[in-house]
Amino acid sequence: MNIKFWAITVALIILVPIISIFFEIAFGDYSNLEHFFKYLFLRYIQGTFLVAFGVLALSATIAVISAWIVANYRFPFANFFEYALMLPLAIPAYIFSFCYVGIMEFQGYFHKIFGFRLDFMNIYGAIFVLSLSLYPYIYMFAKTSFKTQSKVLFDVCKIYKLSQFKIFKVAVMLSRPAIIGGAMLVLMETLSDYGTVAYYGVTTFSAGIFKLWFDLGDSYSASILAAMLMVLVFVIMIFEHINKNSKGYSFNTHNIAKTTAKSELGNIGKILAFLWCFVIFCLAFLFPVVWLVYWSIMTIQDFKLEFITMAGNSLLMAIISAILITFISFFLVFSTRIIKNNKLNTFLLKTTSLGYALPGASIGLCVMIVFGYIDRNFGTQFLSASFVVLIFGYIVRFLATSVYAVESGYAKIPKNIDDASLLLNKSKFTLFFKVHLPLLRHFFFLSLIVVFIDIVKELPLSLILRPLGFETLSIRAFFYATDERLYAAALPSLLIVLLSLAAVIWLEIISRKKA
Amino acid sequence: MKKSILALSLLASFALAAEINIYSARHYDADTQLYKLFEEKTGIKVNATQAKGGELIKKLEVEGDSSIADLFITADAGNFHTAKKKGVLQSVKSQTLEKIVPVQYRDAEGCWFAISKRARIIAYDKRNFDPSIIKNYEDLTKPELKGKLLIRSATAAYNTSLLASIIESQGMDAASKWAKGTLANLARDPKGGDRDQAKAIFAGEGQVAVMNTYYIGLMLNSPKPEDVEVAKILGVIFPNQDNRGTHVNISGIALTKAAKNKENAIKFMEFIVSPEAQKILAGINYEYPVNTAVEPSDTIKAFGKFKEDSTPLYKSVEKISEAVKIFDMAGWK
Repeated sequence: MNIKFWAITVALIILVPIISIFFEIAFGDYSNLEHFFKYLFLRYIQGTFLVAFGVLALSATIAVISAWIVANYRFPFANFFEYALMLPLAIPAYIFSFCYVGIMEFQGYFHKIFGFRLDFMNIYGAIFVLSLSLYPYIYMFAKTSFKTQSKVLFDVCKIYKLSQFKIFKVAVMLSRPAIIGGAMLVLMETLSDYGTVAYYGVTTFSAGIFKLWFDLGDSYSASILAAMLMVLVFVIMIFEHINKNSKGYSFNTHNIAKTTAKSELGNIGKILAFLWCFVIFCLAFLFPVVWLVYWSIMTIQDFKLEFITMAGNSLLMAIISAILITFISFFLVFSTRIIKNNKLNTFLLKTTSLGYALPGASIGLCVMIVFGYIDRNFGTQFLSASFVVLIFGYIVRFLATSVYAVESGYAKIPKNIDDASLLLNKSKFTLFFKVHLPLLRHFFFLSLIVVFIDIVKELPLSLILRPLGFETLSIRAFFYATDERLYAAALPSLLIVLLSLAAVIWLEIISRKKA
Repeated sequence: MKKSILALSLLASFALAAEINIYSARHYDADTQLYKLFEEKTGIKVNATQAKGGELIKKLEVEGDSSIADLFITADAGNFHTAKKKGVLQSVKSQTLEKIVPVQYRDAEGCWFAISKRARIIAYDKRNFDPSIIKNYEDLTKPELKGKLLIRSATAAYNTSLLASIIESQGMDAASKWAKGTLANLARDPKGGDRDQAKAIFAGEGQVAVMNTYYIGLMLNSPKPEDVEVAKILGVIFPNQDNRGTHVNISGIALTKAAKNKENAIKFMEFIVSPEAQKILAGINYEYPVNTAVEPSDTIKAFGKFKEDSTPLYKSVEKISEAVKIFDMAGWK
C-alpha cells in the first residue's frame, strides 16, 4: 500500500467524529437557534473577538521577546529562565483563573500587600490569565526555532552591521512558521476555553455552545454553533497555510548543526533581560504555584490515597496518547512531504487539526455519537467500558498540537534533501528514519512534551468519555473548584502541575543526553 | 458443612454479581461515603462515574439501551426535566420513596425523587443593611436596592429554576419584569460563584446577594479563617414567607430506562433517603435533608425554620427554557 492511501485513511478516521457534528445538526429542531441569534449572537461574537485578539497579542509579545532573550543572550539565570519560562504550561488555564481570583480577591495577597484591589473577574482578567497560561506554546516553538537558526545568516547580518533590533526582526520573520504555529495553538485553545471565560463572566462562542447545550438542553443547536466555530477556524487555517506556502521558508537552515552562539549583554541590558524574565516567571508561574502550595499545605489533612491512583491514571493515559499522537502526526506530516499535492496536503493536515479549536465537550459529544452508533448497532460496549474511546478522543482533540510542532520543524528542512535522498534510491522509510528524524529530534520531543501536558491537564473529554470508575487528577480538581471549594482543589491541582513539571524536566534531560 | 460451604460460595458469587452503576453529576465526599456504606450493608457493589448533568443526559441518550447505567444522580430539578423529556428515565413505584419524599420534590410519574434540598435565600450585610426592605423575591426589584444587589450569572441553574418558579406562580410578564428589575439593581455584572457574591458583600461592593444556604454553611465551616469572617457578617432572609414560600431546589436520583440491575438500583434509591444516609448527606454538605425525620446540621438549623414553596418542582421546571430566554431578553449575562 502506498503512503497516500494510508494517510488519507488515517485522516478520515480522525475526521469521522468531527464530521458527525453535521449529522447531529441534520436531526435537530432549531427552535432555540432563533432566540440565540436574536438576543445573544452579536454579544458572543464580540466577546470572542476581543478575547482572541487580546490573548494573541499579549501572549505573542511575551513569548517572542522572552524566547529571543533566552536564545541569544547571556545574563544572570539565563539558563534557568530558558526552562522556567516553559513551566506555566503545566498549569491548566482554569486552575490559573481560580488561583488569580484567590490572589486578587478582597483580603487576598494583592489586597494585603498593596491595600487596594483590582477587579479581576472581567474580560481583561480573562485575557491576562489565558495569555499567561498559553504563551509557552509560542515561546517553546519560537525558542526552538531561534536556537536552530542558521549561524551563517546572522554572520551576514553582522557583516551588514544591522542593529540588534533589525536582527531580531529578521529572526522573527524567519521563525514565522514556528511562531504562527504556536499562535494558532493559542488561538484554538482560547476559542475552545470554557472554564476561564465562564468563571470570569465573559461571553465567548464556546460559552454560547454550553449555554445552548446545558441551559436549554439543546445539543443540536449547540452543534450548529460548534460547526460554525469549526468553519471559522478552518478558514483561518487555510489562510495561514497559503500565506506560509507563499514564502520559501526552507532556505534558512542549511546549517542546522551550527546554532547561534549566545552573545554578552551590557550591564543595563543584563538587568533588563533578567527583570523581564523574572517578572513573567513570577506572574505566570511562581505566584499561582505558591498559592497552590500554600493551600495544599493548609488542606493536607484532606490528602487521599486515591490521589496517587488518579495521578497514575493521568500519567498512563497521557503517555500512551502522547506517543500515539506524535506517531500519527509525524506520519501525516511526512506523508504531505512525499505526496506534494497542495490541496490534499491541506486536507490531511488542517482538517485533522480542527478538533483542537472545538471545546472539549463538543469533541466529546462527537466521539460519543460515533461510538454510540457502533455500540448500538454492533452490540459492543466501547462507550462505557473502554479506554479506546477516551484515547481516540484525545487523538482527535490534540493531534493539532503535535502537527504544529512537527510542521514547524519540517519547515526548516530544505525539500531538496528529500529529493537527493530519493534520487539516491533510498526508500521513504530510510528518508524518514535516517534523515528526517535525526534533524527533527528537538521537535519530536517538543511534540511529546506539549501533548503529554495537554492531556494531563485535559478536562472535559476525560470527564465525558472515561470508563466507569476511572478518575484523573484534573477531574477531581475541577469538581472541587466548581463546588467553589478552591482550597480543596489546590492539592490535586498541585499534583497536576508536578506531574507536568516532571515530564518537562525528564524529556529535557533525555533530549540533552542525545543531543 | 458441605452444604454451608456451597451456600456460602453461592452467596459469594451472588454478591459478586450484584452491582449497580451510577452516572452522577454530584461529586461530594458525602456521596462516596454513602456508596461505601451501601456496599457494606447490602454487598451490592456500587460503580460510579461523574460528569456534568447535561453531559450525562446526552451520554444516556446516545448509549440508549446499551447503556450500563442504572441510576442517574444530579443537582437541579431542571436536569431531571430534560432527562425525562429525552426519554432516558423510567418511573419507579416504591412506597418507601413515596412516603419519605414530599410530593413537591418528586416527579408526578415517579421518574425522579429528591435526595436533598437547597434553599435559594437572600443574604444581606448585617453591618449596614436594614433587612426589613426585603420580604419577597419580588422586592429585589425595588428602586431602593439600586446598585446594591449581587447575583451570579443567569447560566447558573439555581437562578433559572428560581425564575422558572416565578413564572409558574406569577406568569411570564411578572417574571420578565423581575428579570429586568433585578438587573437594573445590580452592583456589578453577574459573575463568579455564590461564594464570590458573599465576598463582594464583605468587600462592600454590594449589600444584598441571592445565594444558596449550603454555601453559607460551607463558608462558616471553611478551613480558611477569611471565609468564616465573610460568612459571619451575612444575615439570611427566607423570602416569600407570607405567600408561596422560599424557592427550594433539589439534588435527586432517577432510575435509567436502560437499567439492567433494576431491583438493586431501587434498593439504593430507598437507601439514600433513609435516615442513616440522609444524616450523612445533611451533615457533610450542609444541604437540607429531604427526609423530614432527619434534622439539618446545626449550622443550617441556626438560620431558622422557614416555609418552603409548595408548588411541585415538576411543574415549575417545565418553565426553565422560558426562564433562560427571559434572562437573555432582559440582557442578563
